Amino acid sequence: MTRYRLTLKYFVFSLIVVIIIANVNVIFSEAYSKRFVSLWILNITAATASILGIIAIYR
Amino acid sequence: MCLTLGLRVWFSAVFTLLYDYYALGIEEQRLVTITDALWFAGYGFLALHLFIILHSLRIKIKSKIVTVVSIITTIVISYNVVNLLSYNYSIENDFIALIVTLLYPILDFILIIPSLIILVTLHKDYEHNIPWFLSSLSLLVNAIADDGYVNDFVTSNSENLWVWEFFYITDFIIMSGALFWYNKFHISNALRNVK
Repeated sequence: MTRYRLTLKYFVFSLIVVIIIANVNVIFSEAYSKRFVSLWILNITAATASILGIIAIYR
Repeated sequence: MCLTLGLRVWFSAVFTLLYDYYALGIEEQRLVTITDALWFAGYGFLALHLFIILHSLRIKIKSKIVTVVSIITTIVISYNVVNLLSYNYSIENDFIALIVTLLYPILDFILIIPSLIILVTLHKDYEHNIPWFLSSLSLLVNAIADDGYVNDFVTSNSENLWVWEFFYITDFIIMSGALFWYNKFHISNALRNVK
């Protein structure tokens, strides 16, 4: 149980770090390319979620 | 299954936005497009997913929680709808656009209520229900983003639109986390037990 909690702690921490990195990329992009960057990151994250969903079904 | 179908449809929706941006050079569509239809289809699948979770968790849901969550959500969504209606539309030209715009906060309603109920009910025992907890959180973040985005879009605050994209990005990352945890621990453990 302690190991599970530790894994969970690392997992939540990694999730927060990924969220910060993804959003910081948008914040610090140039004004003219903000839409471009956010659309790409949105597509990458949506594709990742979609692929993980498909994996869950096939397993 | 419903979750994956919903995510596939929403991925197709954000892909059409990217296609519009690159191929057609459109920053943001003012008219009703296929993207809206894809978003709406996604709402159906994802709401169904949340209701299936509520049913399958076999937890006792207090009617007090349902009442409080429903009242708060109704007040917030009604305020948003009234806000949107107070904006000037030319009914002849924008009737379909108006209906589609109003559908977003109304459909958010069917995501917010079940996701909030799941979050409130599971908050004490979240460790054993990580995928359901995270997927509900993710859909809640998405519904909040939708409300804000539609408001800013209608009031032509296009310079603020990118702020709401943070919420959408966060939503998909949390959802990926939920599915990763589900694949890694729930399915792997089940397969190990079968072997």
